[in-house]
Amino acid sequence: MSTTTHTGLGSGTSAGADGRPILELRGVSKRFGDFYANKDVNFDLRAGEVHCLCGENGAGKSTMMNMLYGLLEPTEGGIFIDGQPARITGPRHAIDLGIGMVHQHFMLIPVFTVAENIVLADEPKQGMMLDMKAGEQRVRELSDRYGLKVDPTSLVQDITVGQQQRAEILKALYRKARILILDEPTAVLTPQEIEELLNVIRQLRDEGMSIIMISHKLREVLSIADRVSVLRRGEMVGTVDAAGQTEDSLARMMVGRDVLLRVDKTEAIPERPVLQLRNLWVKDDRELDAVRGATFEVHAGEIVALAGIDGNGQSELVDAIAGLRHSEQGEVVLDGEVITNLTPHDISDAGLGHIPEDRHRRGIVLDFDLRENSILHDWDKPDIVRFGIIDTAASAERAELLCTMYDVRSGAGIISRSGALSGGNQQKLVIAREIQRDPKLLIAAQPTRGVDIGAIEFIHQRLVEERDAGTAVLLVSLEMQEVLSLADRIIVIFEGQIVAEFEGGRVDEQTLGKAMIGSGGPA
Amino acid sequence: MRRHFDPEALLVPLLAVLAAMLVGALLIYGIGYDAIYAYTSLIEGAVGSPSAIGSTLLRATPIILTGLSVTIALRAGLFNIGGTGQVILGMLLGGIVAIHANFLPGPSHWIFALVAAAIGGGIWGAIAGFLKVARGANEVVVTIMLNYIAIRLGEFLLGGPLKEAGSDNPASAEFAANAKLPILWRPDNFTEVHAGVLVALLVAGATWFLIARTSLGYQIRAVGLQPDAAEYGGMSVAKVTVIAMFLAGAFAGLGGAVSQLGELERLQKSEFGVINIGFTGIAVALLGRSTAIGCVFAGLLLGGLDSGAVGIQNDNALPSGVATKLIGVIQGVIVLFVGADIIFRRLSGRVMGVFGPRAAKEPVA
Amino acid sequence: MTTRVRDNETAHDEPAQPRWGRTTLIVALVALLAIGVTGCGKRGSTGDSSGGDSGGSSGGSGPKVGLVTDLGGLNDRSFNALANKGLEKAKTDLGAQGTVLESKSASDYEKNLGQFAQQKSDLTVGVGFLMGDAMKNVAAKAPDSKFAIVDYPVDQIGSPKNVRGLVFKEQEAGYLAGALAGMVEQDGKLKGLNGAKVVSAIGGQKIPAVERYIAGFQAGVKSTCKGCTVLIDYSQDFIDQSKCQDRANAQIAKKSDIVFQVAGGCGLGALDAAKQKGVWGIVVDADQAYLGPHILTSAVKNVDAGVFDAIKSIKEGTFEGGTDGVYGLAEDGVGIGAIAAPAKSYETKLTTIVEQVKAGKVEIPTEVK
Repeated sequence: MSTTTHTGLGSGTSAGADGRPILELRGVSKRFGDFYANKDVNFDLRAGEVHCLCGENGAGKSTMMNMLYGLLEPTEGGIFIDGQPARITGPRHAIDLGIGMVHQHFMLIPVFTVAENIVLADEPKQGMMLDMKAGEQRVRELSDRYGLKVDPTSLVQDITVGQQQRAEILKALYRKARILILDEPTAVLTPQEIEELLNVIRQLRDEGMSIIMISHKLREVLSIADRVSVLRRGEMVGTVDAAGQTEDSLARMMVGRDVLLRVDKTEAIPERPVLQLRNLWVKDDRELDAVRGATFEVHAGEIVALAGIDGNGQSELVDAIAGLRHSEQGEVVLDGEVITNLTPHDISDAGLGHIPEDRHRRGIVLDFDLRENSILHDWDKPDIVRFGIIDTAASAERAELLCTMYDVRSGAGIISRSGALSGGNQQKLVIAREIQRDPKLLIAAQPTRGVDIGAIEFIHQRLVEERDAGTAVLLVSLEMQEVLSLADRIIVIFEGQIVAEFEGGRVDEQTLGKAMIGSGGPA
Repeated sequence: MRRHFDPEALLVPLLAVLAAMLVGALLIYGIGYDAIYAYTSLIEGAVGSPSAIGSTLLRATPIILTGLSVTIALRAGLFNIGGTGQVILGMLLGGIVAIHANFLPGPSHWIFALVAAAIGGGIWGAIAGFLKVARGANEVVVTIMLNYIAIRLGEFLLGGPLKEAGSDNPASAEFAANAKLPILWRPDNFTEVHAGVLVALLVAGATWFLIARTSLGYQIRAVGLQPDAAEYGGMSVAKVTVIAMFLAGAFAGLGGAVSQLGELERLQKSEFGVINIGFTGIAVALLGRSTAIGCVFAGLLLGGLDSGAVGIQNDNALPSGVATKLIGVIQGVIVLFVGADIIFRRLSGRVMGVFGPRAAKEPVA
Repeated sequence: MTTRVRDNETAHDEPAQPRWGRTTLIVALVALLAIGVTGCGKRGSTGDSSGGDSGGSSGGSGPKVGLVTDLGGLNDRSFNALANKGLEKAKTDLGAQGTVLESKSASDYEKNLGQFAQQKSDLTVGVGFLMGDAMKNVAAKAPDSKFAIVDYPVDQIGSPKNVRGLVFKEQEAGYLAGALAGMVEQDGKLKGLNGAKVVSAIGGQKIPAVERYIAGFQAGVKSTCKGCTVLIDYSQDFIDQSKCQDRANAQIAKKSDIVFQVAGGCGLGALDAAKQKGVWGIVVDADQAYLGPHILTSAVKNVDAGVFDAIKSIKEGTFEGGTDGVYGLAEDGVGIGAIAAPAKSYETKLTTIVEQVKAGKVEIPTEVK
C-alpha cells in the first residue's frame, strides 16, 4: 500500500488572506478546580495570516494552544474550524483537522533520523515494509520547497537545535497541516537562525498557511505578525493589527502597566579590576580549542558584556572562570587572587556569583524545592549547616528572603518543586541566590533567556543595581539588544578570540553585528 | 524530602502488589487449586500469629538493609548490583570478629562484629565507587564482577584459613556466645527475634535522616539528580560517589551480618553461592520507591510473602514445592510492574525532550 | 474573574486531578477482578478437591511428618527429591500425613524445623548435613519432638536423644560402581576405551560422604582390575559445572576413560566432558541414566529408603534417637543404578559381588588411600 504525494498544504478551503476565519474560539474557558486558566476567550485566525499570541508566563497561552491541539478540553465555549464546531479529541484528531503544532520542547526521537521522525506514525510503505527512501524523498521535496534546510538522513541528536526545529515544522507540513502553531519558536535559536525562521514563516504564509505564533519577543512579533492578540491572566485583552503598534504599546497590553524596555542607568564608575584573564586557553568537549588566548578585565562597578554568536567559546570561557572546565593555559585572577583551575567550590568562596546559562542543567536542581535550591552553594556553610545537619529553619528563611526580595512566585511557596516554576521565576531564584551571596564578580550568562518581559525588566534592573553596589558584572548574552542596553563595555568573542571591544552606548547594531561575525571593528 | 503527599508514590507499588496477587491467583486457579484458601494461608503465615509476625520480621530484616543499600546508591544516581558481594564481605568480616575477637567484653563483641561487617561491605562498595570516578568504570559491571570475587573469596577462606580446625566440614568454628545478637522477643520457643530487627530500623531511620536532613544527604541527592548542578554548587561528585557506594556497601554488609550473627552458629562455605538477599534488596528499593521508609514497608511486604510461603506449605494449600515458586512469581511480577513504571517514565522523558530526560517535565508556558 | 492571582505553575499542578481519578478507577477495577478471579478459584477447586490431589493432600491418619529441604529445594533431582519420595511412599503405604517446607536461605533451617516442632509433628526430617547446627538447637528446645537428619551422624551434634541420624554406606555403592568399572577396563571391549586402564573420580570436597564413595570406588576397581590406576581430584565445589568439567578434562588427558563424579551439580560438568571426549561417566546419589548413553551406571544412595524407614519406626513405636540408622546394601539404603546397554553383560558378575557385600564378606574401606 503506497500513498501518493504529499503536497504539504491542504487544498481547497483556505484561499489566501481573504479575512474569513479558518479557526475560531468563541467564549472558551478552561477551569482547573476554581482557577480559570482561560476565561471567556475569543480568538480568530484568518486564512493566510500570521497571528501572534502574546502574554506573560502563566497568562494562559499554553492552555489555549493545548485546547486547540486536543490535549485539553474546554470547560465552556466552542472551537470552530472553517465555521464548523469541532470537538478536538486529541493530537491525532487535531492533525486530521489540519492543525500542526511545534512545541517549545521538541517531540523528536534523538536516535532516529530526521526523515524517520517526520514520517513517524504515517510511514510510507511498500507492502509490509517501511519505504524510507520514499520518505526521505518526500521530506527533501518539502524541505526544498520551503527553504527548510535539513538533511533528512542525519540523526536528530547530531543536528543543531535550529535544524531540529525545522524538522518539527516539516513534520507538520508532511502531515498536511494548514494551521501551524509555533510555541515560542525563537526562544532556542541564534540570531541567524531566528532570521531564517522568520523568512520561512513569511514564505509559508505566502503559500497560504495560517500561522499562530506564541512569542513575547515584541520585536519579532512586530516584524512578522499581521495581527497580535494579547492574553493576560487567562483573559483576552484584545486583538490588534500589528501595523501601528510599538513594543511599548504591546508591552503595556501584556503587563497592564507601562514597562521600561530601555534600561535606566547612570554612567558607570569603574574601580579596581576584579576579574583579570590573561591569555586563557580552554578546550571544549571534543578537545578542540574553544577559547584561544582570551585576555580582558572586568572592573568593580561596571557591566562588561561578552558578545558573540552562540558557540564561539563563551560557554567554555565562563566554565573555565567558574572552575567547571580545565584551563589549558593562562591565568584567571579574581580580585588579586589567582583562581586558575581551583575547584568550583573554592572559586565560589573566593567571591564568584554565577548565573549559569543553562539553569535546567546547572542553575537549579529541578527536583529540589526552593529551600534546597536556595542553599546550593551553602551545604558546608556554618550559617546553614551545623555538625553536618542542615538547619531547615535557616534554609527556609533564606528561601523566603530570596523569594520576597526577587518576587519569585510559585504554586506552593518555598516548598514548591523548582521544576514546576515558570522559567522566569526559576531564573529569578538563581539570580537572587547568586546576588545574595554578595559576590565580587557576578557572571550573568544569558540571564534573560526564556524569561518573560516583566521578568526581563526586573532582572536588568537588578544587574544594574549590583553594578552600582560595586560588583564587577560579566554579562554573556546572545541578544544584541540586551548587550547594547546593559553593557558599559562590550567585548566581542569570535572563534574563541577576543576580536573587538566597544564602549557601551557608543556602538550601533550593525557595527557590533559585523564584529560578531568576525569582520573587523576597532580592536 | 517529600512535602506533598504524592498519590502516585503509593499508588504504583500498591497496584503492582495487587496485580501480582491477581496473577498469582490466576496461576493457582490454573492448576486447579483454591486461591482464597492459599491466600488465607499466606496471610496467616505472614501475620496470623505472633510466631508468624516474628518470622516475617526476621525475614524482612536483612532485605530492609540491602534495600537501603540499593536506595542510598540510587539516590546518588548509582545502580548497586553488588549487594551479594557486599553481603558476603559483611558476613566474612563480621564472622571473623565474632569467632576470633574473644577479648571483646560483653555486648561490645557483637556490636564490634557488626561494625566490622559494615566496614567490610563498605570497602567492597567503595571499590566500585572508586573505579567509577577514577577510571570511569560502570558501577553495574564492576559490582557484578565484585560479587563473583566475593563468592570465590568466601569459598576460599572457608575451604582453608577459616575452616574449623580438626573438622571435615567446610565451615568455620562457632561464633562466640557474646557475638550472637541478643534476642529481643520470643513469640514461641523457636522463633527468636534478634536485635538485627532494631539494627535494620535504626539504619532505616538514619538513612532517612541522612537523606533528608544532612549536608551529605543533600549532596548525595544533588549528585544523583543533576550532577552538573552539584558540580556547579561546589560539590565533589567523585567524593560523593565513593561515599555513597561505601554507605551502600556498609548497609548490605550489615544485612549479611545480622542474619548470620542472629540466626546462625557459624559461617558455611555452601552459603555464599546461594545468597539472594542482595538481589532482593533491588526489589525492595524499587518497591519502596527509593525511600528509607518505603524500604521498611517493602521489606516487610516481601519478608511477609516469604513467611506466607511457609504458611501455604504448612497448610498444604498447594502441592509441595509450588508455594515457594508461586511467591517467587508474585515477587517477580511486583518488581516487573514497579520497574516497568520507572523504565516507562525514563523512556517517555527521553522521547519527549531532546534537551535531556528532564525537559519534558517542564512547563511549556 | 477570580480575585486570586495564580501563577502558571499552579495551572500545571492542577491537571493531575483527573489522573488521580483515573488511577483510582484502575485500582478499583483490578481489585474487582482480583476478587472475581479468586472467587472463581474457590468455586472451581471445591469441585476439584473431591477428585483428590495427592500432591497437596496431607494423607491419612498415620504419623504427622514434616520434611525440611535444604537450599536445593524439592526439584534438585537428588537428596531433597529422594527424601520427598520416601515421604510420599510413607503417605501411601503408612497413611502418613506429610508437609514439606522448602528452605530459601541458611537461616530458614532453624525456623522451618522449629515450625514443625511447634506444631507437634510426630517426626521432623531435615535433609542434608548443612542443617546440623539448626537441628541441634531445635532438638534441644523441643525435647518431646522427634527428628531425623539425613546424611549426618548424630554424634557430631552430641547425640541428642530425640534425633536419629540417617547415614548411608556410600562406600558400598562406590565399591559396586568401581567393580563394574574395573571389569570394563580389564576386558577393554567397550567403545571409547583406550586400553591404558586408567579411571578417575572427582569429589566435590573432602567430606566424609564423598570420601566413602571414592574409597569404595577405589577398592572396587582394584578388586576386578589389578593393573588399573585410579586418579582422584577435588573440585572444591558442588555447584559450578565448569570447575568439574576442567578437572575431568585434565583426568581424561591423563588417559582416564571412566569418570566417576561425586560432586552434585558441579559433577554434571564432568559428565559433559566425558560425553564430549567420548569416554564413560558414572553418576552419584540418584539414578541418572537419563543423562545419556555415556552414563555407565549410577552409584545410588536411596535416601528415600532411610526416610521411609524412619517414618515407619515412628508408626511402629520403634524410633530410636541418639543413634544413627545406617543404611547399606543389605538395607537397600545404597545400590547401583541402571547399567548402560553395552555393559549389560557384566550384570551377572556384579550380582554375585552384590551378594558378597550384602553377606558382609567384603571389607570395604571408608577412607581414601
